[in-house]
Amino acid sequence: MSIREPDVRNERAREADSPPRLQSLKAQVASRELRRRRAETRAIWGGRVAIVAGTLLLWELLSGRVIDPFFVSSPSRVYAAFLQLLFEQELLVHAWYTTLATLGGFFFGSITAIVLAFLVTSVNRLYETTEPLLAALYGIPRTALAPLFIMWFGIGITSKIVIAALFVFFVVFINTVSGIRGTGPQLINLARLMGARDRDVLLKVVLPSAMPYILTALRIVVPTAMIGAIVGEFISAQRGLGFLISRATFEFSTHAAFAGIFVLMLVVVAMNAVIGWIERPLLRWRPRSNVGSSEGG
Amino acid sequence: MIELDNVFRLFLPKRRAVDVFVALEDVSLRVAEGEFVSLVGPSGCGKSTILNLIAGFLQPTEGTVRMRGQPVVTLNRATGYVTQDDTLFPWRTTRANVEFALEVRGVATAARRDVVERLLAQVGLQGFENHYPHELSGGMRKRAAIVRTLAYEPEILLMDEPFGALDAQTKLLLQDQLLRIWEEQRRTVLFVTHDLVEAIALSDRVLVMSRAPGRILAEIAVDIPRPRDVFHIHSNPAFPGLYERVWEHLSKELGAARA
Ligand SMILES: Nc1ncnc2c1ncn2[C@@H]1O[C@H](COP(=O)(O)OP(=O)(O)O)[C@@H](O)[C@H]1O
Ligand SMILES: [Mg+2]
Repeated sequence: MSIREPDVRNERAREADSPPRLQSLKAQVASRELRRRRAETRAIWGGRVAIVAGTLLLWELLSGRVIDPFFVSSPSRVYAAFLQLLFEQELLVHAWYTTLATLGGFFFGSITAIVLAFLVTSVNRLYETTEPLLAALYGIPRTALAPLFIMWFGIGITSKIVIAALFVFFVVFINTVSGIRGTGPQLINLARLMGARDRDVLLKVVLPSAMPYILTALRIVVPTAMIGAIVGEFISAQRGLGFLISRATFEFSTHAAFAGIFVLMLVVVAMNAVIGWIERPLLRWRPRSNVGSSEGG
Repeated sequence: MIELDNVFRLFLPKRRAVDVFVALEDVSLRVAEGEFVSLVGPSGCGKSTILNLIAGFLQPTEGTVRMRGQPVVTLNRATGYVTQDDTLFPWRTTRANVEFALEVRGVATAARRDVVERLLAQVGLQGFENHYPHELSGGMRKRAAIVRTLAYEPEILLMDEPFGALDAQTKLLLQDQLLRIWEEQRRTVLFVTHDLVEAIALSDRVLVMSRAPGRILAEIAVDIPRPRDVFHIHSNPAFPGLYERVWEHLSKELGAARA
């Protein structure tokens, strides 16, 4: 707003107390804020689209001119391979199979981890005793264990789920444990003083207090679960995107390999979106931090 | 109603530390039913420790803490505790925080709502029922913490510097609200503060503690009639003399701390 009549401004300010004036002020502030938010969202999405489009364009231009497309393929070839896979090789079936293994591993691994974290931390001495042992287990490279799991659980989807779960387990477990142990002892004491029983303390104090940690872990392990599933499929499988990609690589079909990788990305993005959607109402109580400077207008 | 007899409380501050810290040394005190008692003393003298002992968060190293003649050996559920730190549940709205105690006691939702509405109105928090703690001002958080404690009507209220970090005006308003609530219900209150004026304005008795290791140095009865007016407590003829007496004991401790 421009200040055209400085002399009347004080008059206006005094009038601002009158309800209609206040109403219009509120409406102004609200609409300005709304516009600002929309502009912010537009800018963010514009940036994303520009980055993706720029990368694809650069890739397309460089491939064939500067770099040999045999090694890096190109977006148009990948797209052609994608269509071919989709219509001729049951891409969706493979994608669905990998998604199932990923989801299975994600849920199985994280639920086991959360339950175990609550059990282990419920007794102080149990936690103190087992903590270094679990840390040692965490140190084992999980990829090295994957072939064993194929041996134990066969080449079907069960082994992929178990491997994905193994990849997921420790991150969720460790985060949940720190969340649980980070609950203020004073908060727990007070809850008890106010009449909370053990179950109330667990569900109404410890769980919500640990929730941000748990959700962060769940977000981190979505791609981790997929890595587990793919590792399993790389080692031995007859279906799945991992199988598709590794076969394509064997046949030196970089286009098809990239097409498979592209589909993997889509699956992870979709799963992330679902987690974000679940997470938002659960963390509404937290103050939003704004570390970066927002470039204001 | 509350009795501490020759209570010692020692702490081993760090895991491997050898020197034991004496927080309370031979503390005896009594708070009668319906009495409002304040505890003043240099910081670190063990005021919060005394409240923690009464709430049953801590056990005395030696001596006994009793409540209606029964030793306090576990959490003392007859107490309501407004702690020094901010201890509202950050994931609960104002209303849900105030409801907590009733909720875990299985009070029906409708009955809960009634109590909570009344309490929130009493301390001027209407309109903020659905705000989360981080969306409230410091004074509002304190008010919410206080009514959260009042909601389940504990027999004894422990309050640890509840108005310590507030600006002077907010503090006066809250003191006034607290006094009015107290005069209505006459609960037993043990109130920790740094503020001598506050201690005199609110209490029936003021206990002055020594610097660490904490002991009770003096007990000053505040014979200002009730209901009191916290806004004009200074102009009460008894006030200057009382203030002088409390300050006399306390200043020695502060002086000693400086030496
Ligand atoms: N749990 C604890 N472990 C170790 N030291 C403690 C503990 N609680 C209190 N103390 C020590 O006891 C002394 C008294 O503390 P406190 O009662 O909080 O003092 P204040 O009078 O300021 O409320 C302080 O020096 C503090 O460091
Ligand atoms: Mg204290």
